[in-house]
Amino acid sequence: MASQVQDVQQPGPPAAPARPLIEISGLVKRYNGTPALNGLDMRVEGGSIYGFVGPNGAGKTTTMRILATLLEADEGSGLIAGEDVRAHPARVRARIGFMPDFFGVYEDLTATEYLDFYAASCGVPSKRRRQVIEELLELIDLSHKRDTYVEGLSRGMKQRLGLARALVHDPAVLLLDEPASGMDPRARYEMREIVKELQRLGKTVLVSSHILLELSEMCTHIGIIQSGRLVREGPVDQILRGLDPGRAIEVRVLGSAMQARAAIAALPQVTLVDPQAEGREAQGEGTPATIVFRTFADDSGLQEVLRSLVSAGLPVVGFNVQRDNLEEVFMQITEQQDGHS
Amino acid sequence: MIPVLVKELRTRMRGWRTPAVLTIYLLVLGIVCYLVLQLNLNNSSFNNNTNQASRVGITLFDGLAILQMILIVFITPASTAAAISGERQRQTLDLLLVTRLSSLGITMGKLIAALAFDLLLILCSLPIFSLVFLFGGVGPDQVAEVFLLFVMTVLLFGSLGLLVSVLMQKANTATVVTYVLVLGSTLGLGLATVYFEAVGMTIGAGATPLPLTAYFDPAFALAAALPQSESTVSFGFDFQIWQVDILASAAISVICVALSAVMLRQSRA
Repeated sequence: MASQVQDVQQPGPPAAPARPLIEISGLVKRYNGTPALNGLDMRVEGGSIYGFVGPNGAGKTTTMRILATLLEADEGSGLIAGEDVRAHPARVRARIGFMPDFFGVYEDLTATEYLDFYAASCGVPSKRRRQVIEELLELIDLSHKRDTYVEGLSRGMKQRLGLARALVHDPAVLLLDEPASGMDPRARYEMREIVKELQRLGKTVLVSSHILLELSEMCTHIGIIQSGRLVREGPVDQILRGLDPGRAIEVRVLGSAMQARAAIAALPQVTLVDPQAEGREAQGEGTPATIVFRTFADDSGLQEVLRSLVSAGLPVVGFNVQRDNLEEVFMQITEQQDGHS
Repeated sequence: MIPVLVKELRTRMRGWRTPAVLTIYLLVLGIVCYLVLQLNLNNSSFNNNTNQASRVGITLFDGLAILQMILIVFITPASTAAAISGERQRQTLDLLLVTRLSSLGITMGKLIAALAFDLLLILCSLPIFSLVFLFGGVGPDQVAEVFLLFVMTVLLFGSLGLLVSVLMQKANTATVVTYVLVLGSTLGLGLATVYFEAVGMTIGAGATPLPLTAYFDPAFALAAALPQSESTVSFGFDFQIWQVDILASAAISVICVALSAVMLRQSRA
């Protein structure tokens, strides 16, 4: 792959600000009057892995297909490496590798013949094709299957072969629409590692998924799309921090949950008390009530919280830090946005 | 166009299907040839009688030509009707459309590969047809005319199938629609020709002016091209009817391929 990515790895003059490789402005797309994209704005910096995340029907695939020159937007513009997808689709096609969410394969070709066909279709000179195919098969760890018919490959292998297909013409930008859908955990892991490797080789990757955690493990940036609009965008750490409403702490107390809840809510370190705790009263004498609250306090801060509760006379019998569930928080955010739109 | 052509030829010629179809095709032609000869040789004693022999030659040629046309009607539509619709159904069309291949390149590659197989069948039937030269009555020029008609009919039906395959979402639907259109252009146009001729709606001058529908009907053109059924029509110049049909087939084929490319281009942004 080294020879393939040479062009991409040569940066411009150091003084020049890096221009985003993908720029989307005010993109609108309607299907029979129903908006699928509702003024989408998005920027993907060169060399990043941009996770495009949102629930099903949010507009991820529509965006991908517009960028891949397979669909025309009603309004707005999309630029890839400075080329407008509407004005210069052929130039854009030369710069992108697209992997749709569902794609078929030619079962009656061998893995090598399959890649050779697409390489020829993408204008890779016949003299270079053999070398390119060997490098790609090595990248996706299918060198040992080079002469195997595609029909004999597993689903994960076909998916990796599809990724290699998208790379045959050494594109600067990769558009991967739900690349891990329907794959087992091992195949997902392998796909993730390949995408990371591609970033190391200088590619810019736009990868979509409806599972935030899946993307957060490999992406440098995240954009959250909801109802055809980008609701959050930024570096992955910043996005996850933004989503994180603090650690969830579960407290179990004997006696009245209402009284305990009031005492907890009065503490300065507490940002939110789970309203559902009101309904979790103790079931009979001797059975503790459960209250969940959120705080940004660190471990010593938590110690303070616990001491304050005990000092206030609350009969605390349990105090546990709950495991963060980003997916749940993500769902809450996208549901809120859905409600607002 | 070349990558699609190479890939299509590679996959079409691979496996048991192509040799099997070729074998069955030639077997059918061979058996009919044998039966025609048996029938005529048993009923004739044409030793040293040239007229008798040439009559057998003409009968054999007519039989083989009609059978070959029927086989073309049944085989050609299936070879292109799934060309694009099959890609769409298999979810591989988008992958083709994001390459550097032009829409015309994709459609031409598909068409040529499909026609190459159909033309292979026709080419392989030549040795069986050449048996007629043993009996006389049919000249090489007449065989060439009929074979040119076969080639143009394959092109016509292939192009028609290609256009339908671009328009239809599913390969099976495209195949059914193509068969309906192909049968319509043979049987339907034949019936229309008979009707229009009966009511005197003909065009052109000369020995045998015919209704417009006759010039678009490959079956009618074959009947007119067979030995002893010479017929001409004049549109300023004198034409053989099969010549008019060939020109019509070529024009329709070009329109179908151009439309296919345009429609396929609309699948892209």
